[in-house]
Amino acid sequence: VAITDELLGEMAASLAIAVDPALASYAAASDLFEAYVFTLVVRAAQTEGATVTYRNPNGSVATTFVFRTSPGYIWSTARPYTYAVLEFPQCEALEAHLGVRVAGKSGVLHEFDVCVIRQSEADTARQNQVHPRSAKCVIGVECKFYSTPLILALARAFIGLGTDVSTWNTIFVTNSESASVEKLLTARDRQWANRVVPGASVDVDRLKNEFQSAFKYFRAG
Amino acid sequence: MLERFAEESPEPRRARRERLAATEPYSAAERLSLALDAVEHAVVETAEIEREVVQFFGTDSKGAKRVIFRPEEFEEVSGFELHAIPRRRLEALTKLRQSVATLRREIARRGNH
Repeated sequence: VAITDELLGEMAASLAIAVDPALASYAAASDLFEAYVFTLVVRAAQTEGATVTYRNPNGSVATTFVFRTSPGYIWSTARPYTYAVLEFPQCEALEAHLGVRVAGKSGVLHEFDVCVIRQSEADTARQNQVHPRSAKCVIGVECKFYSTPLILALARAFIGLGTDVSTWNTIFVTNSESASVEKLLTARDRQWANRVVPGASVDVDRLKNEFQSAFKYFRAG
Repeated sequence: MLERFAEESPEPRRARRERLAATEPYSAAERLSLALDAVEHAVVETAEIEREVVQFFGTDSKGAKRVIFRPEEFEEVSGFELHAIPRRRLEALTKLRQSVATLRREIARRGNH
């Protein structure tokens, strides 16, 4: 018992220093996770031969990276939200965004935490203040950062999202895991990736490969 | 044509084993294990992700270095900015990771006895 008490004391002392108050909220951790998945998308594009540049909504080169903490419209100029332009040789350019709304088949708006859109569609959306169509997205990611096992309702919601969007690759990505969520998504033929954290290199590489495959098929199409 | 009802079924009903769902409280070891999972996800993994994102945008990009998260609307929560993790915090994270691993081993050891 003494050893455990000592350990718990050490843990408490370490915790007090290890936690950054600015990132202590669930919302901040979720935003950070989305940015992390965004970096994996960009890395996958680079591995597949894309040239990457970062832009502001007005098209200028980003000098500061500004990311959304809540879903927004692609044409918004409320903040200089940054997106990545992914240019593959002899292909239409793509854009990677964080937290933008896209229109589903029904016309209802959905948010992708991370999405890759054809640049022509993104340009049209910005110029005309319309929503990008989900069919023009090459990748759409739903991110879930949880400190507990996932609840089944998250998988049900993701399946519902999948019925209204026409995005080629719609992927459910989480740092956590849940056997029932994975079973349901697999049974409904939905793509998912769990344990996506920097320490889990196998899981992270597998997801990056999924993104690379998406880019491969985009380039061939 | 005669209609047949359940009561007229010629086969006798088999006795069915009753199955009841019940909720059992977690043991002390299970509660500690869940708490350790939460600490790992919420603190250790968050910091690892933070470090990856800072490194990515600090070293894999040209020009821009600051990474800022801001809401679209001006809300009560104003957002946050990422910085390189200070050495003192990194050391605390290493100690925390070690403590979690040691406690997990302790739980497993006690469970085996």
